[in-house]
Amino acid sequence: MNSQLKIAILFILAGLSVVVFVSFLGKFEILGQYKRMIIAYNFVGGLEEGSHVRLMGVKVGKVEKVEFKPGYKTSSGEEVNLHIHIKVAQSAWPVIREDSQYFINMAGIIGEKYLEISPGSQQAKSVQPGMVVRGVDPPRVDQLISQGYALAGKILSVVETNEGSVTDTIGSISDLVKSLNKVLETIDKVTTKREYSDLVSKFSQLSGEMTVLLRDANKGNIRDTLTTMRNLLKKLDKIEEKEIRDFLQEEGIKARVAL
Amino acid sequence: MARLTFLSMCYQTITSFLTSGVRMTEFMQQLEKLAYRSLNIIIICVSFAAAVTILEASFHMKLVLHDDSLVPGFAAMLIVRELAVVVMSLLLAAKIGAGIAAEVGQMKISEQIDALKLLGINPFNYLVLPRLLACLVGGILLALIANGICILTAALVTTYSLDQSFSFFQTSFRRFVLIQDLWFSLIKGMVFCGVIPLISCYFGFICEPGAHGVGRATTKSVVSSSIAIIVLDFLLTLIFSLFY
Repeated sequence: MNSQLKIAILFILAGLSVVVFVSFLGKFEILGQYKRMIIAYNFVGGLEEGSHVRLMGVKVGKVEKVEFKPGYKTSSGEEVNLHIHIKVAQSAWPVIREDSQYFINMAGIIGEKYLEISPGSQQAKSVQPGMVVRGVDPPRVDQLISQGYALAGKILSVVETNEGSVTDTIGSISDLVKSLNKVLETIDKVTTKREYSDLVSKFSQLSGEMTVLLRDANKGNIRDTLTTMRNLLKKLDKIEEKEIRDFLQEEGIKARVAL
Repeated sequence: MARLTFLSMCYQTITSFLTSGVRMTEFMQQLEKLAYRSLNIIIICVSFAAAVTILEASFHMKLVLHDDSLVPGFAAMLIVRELAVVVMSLLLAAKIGAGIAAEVGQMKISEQIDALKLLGINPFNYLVLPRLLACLVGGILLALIANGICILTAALVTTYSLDQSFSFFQTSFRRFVLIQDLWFSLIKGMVFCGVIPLISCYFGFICEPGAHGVGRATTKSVVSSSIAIIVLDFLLTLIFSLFY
């Protein structure tokens, strides 16, 4: 093999490498494979030349150019200063309608920006190549943060100017909660102590007997009444003096009990 | 005769190019000898370097982020901007740098260079210029080939080892690599390969007599060329970063 042939092989290999590189970069484009349109925005949030264009989540094209158009007005009279030139694969073009919407989204862990086209309704007409349509401006995070700061500042100033009343209200609520706590604690103590529980049940029984006695007394059946009273006194014997005193003291009643 | 300096050799080489032009036969021979004959070693080495880069990057990404989906893009960028061209140039420095220094040094100590002068042939035009031009052209061609081979290897390793699709590699590649990365890579390849014959010829021209002198000239040329490549890589990367 002579040296010219070897050098020719070298050049051919280099040429093939260029083809590999360019095809990986996606720079090959058969004429007519794409259709182009322009989307108008006032804020693109970092979308740049080469960013992907997706339709229903499928990659269908690329952003070709980001262009400033000072003073440009849409058909509705709105001033829009940025034009995004995009190319979209011909196969995807019929899905884009006049009522399609054009969002700028973010993907991946490095926050790559891309343009998402939502398909329009079937009743709407297809868009024409080269047409200028209005895109949906992405939310401005910087603005949201600054508005959040302003809101926080306002809340702070309201609290500062009404400091007295706010403090009183909070104090009252605190007292109320404390009182409620005490009541709950008392109820808890009363219901959990076995002897108080017994006492209450015995008094309840006693009260029942007393009702019968009074009814009988009203009827004039005195013998029965005496029998009932004896039974009643027997039951009263069962109630210990200490239990009664404890209960009354717990309830804040000072009384002398002698049974 | 005053001792030859590196700058005076470069100056005389350029002057001889402007006055006498280039010897095409010599140029073609050198291109074949320096570039074509280095092709196999470059293809083998850069392929494995690219494969190791992908696998290592994947290992570290998985270790830290538990996700290696960004590996193809990052690795492709590293390959195109640095790895392919630097590995290729260092290999050439070792292979052809030593060869040129030994050849010119042997001619020096056997007084063949003096004979050329007696015959009225400019030794810089005859010995340095064809090698320099061959390395400049060969550097561009080999940088292209090294990049192509590296990218293909990276794509294959991504597909078969990282279990990701070929189109995924392509998408990542598009996201991270720009066309100017290739241009800068070619410029680097040309500059690095241009430095090798200049340094090697210089050490050949100042070679001391005897086998020991040739050996020293060879060693010095390889070491100096490698250092020059690394330093120039830093400087060029610094300059190119201004264009992004």
